[in-house]
Amino acid sequence: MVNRRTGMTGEEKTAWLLMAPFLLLFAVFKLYPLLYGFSMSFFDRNSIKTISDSTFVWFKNYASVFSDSTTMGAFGRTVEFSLIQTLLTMTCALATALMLNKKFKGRAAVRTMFYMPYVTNLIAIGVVWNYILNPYKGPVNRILMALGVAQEQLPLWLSGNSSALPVTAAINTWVGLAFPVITILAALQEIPITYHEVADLEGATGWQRFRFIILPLLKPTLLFVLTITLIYSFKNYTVIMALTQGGPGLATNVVSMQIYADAFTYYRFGIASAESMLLTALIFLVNLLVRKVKTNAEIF
Amino acid sequence: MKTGKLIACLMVAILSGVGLYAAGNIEAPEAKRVVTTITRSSYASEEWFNKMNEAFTKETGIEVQVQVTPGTNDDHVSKVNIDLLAGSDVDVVPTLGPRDLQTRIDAGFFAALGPMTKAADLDVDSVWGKYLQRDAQGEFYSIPNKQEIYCLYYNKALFDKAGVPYPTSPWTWKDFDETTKKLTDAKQQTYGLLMRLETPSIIIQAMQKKVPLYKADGTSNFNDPAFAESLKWYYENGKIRKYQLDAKGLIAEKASWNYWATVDNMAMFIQGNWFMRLLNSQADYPHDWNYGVVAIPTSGTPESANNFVSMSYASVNKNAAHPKEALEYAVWLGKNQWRFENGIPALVNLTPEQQQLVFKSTADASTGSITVEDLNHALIDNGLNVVDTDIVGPGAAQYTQIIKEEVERYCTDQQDLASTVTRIKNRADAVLKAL
Repeated sequence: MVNRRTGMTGEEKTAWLLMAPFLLLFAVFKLYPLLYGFSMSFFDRNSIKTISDSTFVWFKNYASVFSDSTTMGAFGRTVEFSLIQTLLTMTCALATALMLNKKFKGRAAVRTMFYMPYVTNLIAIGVVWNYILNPYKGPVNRILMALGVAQEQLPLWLSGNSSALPVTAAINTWVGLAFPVITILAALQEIPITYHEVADLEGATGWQRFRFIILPLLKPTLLFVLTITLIYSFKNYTVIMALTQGGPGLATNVVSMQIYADAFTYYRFGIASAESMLLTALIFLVNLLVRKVKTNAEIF
Repeated sequence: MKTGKLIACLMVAILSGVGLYAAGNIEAPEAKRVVTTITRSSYASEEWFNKMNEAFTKETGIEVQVQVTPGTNDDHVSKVNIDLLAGSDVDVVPTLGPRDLQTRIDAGFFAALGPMTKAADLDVDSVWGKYLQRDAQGEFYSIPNKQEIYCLYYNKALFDKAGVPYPTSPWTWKDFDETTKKLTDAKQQTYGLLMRLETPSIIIQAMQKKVPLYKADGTSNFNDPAFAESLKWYYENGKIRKYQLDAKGLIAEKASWNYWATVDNMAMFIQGNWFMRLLNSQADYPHDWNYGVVAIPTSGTPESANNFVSMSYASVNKNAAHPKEALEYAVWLGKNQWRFENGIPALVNLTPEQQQLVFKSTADASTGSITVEDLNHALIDNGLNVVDTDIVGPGAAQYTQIIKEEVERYCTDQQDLASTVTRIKNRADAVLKAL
């Protein structure tokens, strides 16, 4: 029954009431900071002395970001990190889900193990991986040495200029693998058994079964996982802070690290806000792109 | 329904009435005097820090409430600055080093102490004199509570093992290099020294010679060849001569502020006298070797005959909730903190006996590693003048960070020396221009 004063049914009113706590928290902790950050990106709040300065500088902060090679390098590394992580996640998650979909002894235990890193504190993960991959004392390089790898050829892992970023992305992949694995696994189990039975009758090979039955039916799930992974890969501050702090040098200095440094080391809040807005825009664009791909995939 | 509402209103009214009546009849307790301060977690967990605050409370009746910030010293500095920017009303703000002090004074965080000490009838000059950081107008915003005087620490066991005599001052960087070479044994993974990837270590020789970091026109002077020379020496010690872990090794090892106290394969290390507290604590840093101290080397020229000294300060927040108590606490720390920390006070009226007392407690705690004479010779009677450990000047905190970032890139082979110097100069100029 529609209330004459509010124009809402009782069900609608209940819905709004239930959503209210979320909306309130979203407005306070997400929307307001976003809008405040957006407005700050147009002001000259770029030193500890002028932090409350309200000089409107139009797009000067954005121009500074684009002309700063350190920040542009950070954007490049962010994209690189994201691509590595997405590629690794999609490949590993699909392979793992296919493996876990088979019946074998101890399957439940293995499934649980995949959740372990997902629920472990990232700082603890950082400490452990730093120990494991220590190029001088870590067990990995000790094993490699025992296998006959010369000391000067041992990988530097998190301390190497070219290896630090991919290794960090790989660890972040490992941390977040549980969710895509479980999602794909659930989709795999939704595939009707009759399809497989027909494939058996037709004498399809394993590859043909994967290519013509599993992959097409998994497409919507894979696109969903792709979207989530891409967004998750931009949320990389904690893992990088725990593993490399942006180093060695600037080898793992991604945008989130740069934003933190500009805001809290250099007190360039205007510039840090501009960087944040650009990162938000980048994530938004990537999301749009994936949605476009998803729509096209659904059409065809 | 109406009856229910009526009863509820009645109950609220009765409760309010009773509450107000009771509040009116309660005798207000004597207001407790408190002072709030903020500190790093590493300090808050130290016994001397808590004993010091207890002693202050016992003497003055003022309770010290400590707000603790977790994380490294850099994190602490950032968090405190953000807190102050947001209008925090914490009373006393401690600051390590003149660089961060100047940043905070420039940001207008602190109350001017001249008028406050005058109103309290305190003769600050007779107590702290030359150690007070006064601005061009003679105003000051902090009370110094200790000095950190640099010296060179050495691991006696590694010297004995290599058959190298313990170093004696005065000595030069050339002597230092020769000693380091003798102590380094790559096969045994023994290194002659540890110099962390931070200022002043990375440009120690240039800073020791007081080569200015700013030109007369206010731009960066980092293109002075002395800095490149100093950087090259640092780089080659790790990468070429292998006297110490190279930069990648230091990063992999996470060689942080207390690292030298946790290892036994690095023979020498330059640091402030505060490091003795770590070495004297077998409980926190157990080790089976003795250490020695000696004055730091110089280039052998009069302009390089300087030792690094830093200071620690307490300031009163301009928004302090308890300004009177804040001043009392800051002044008390200036006079007494060294007694609890076994530090070196920044007092001009310190008697030689008191100075000896400071060194005696440190020497006693070292359980035979060092003597009062060693400390005196390394820290006080070393024939060296004083130079700041910090870069002091406009945008100093950012300038320091830029040097650190670019030098890390140089030392991890991400760029060459010339590019490093150019990038530091350009980035620092941009920061200085924006100020």
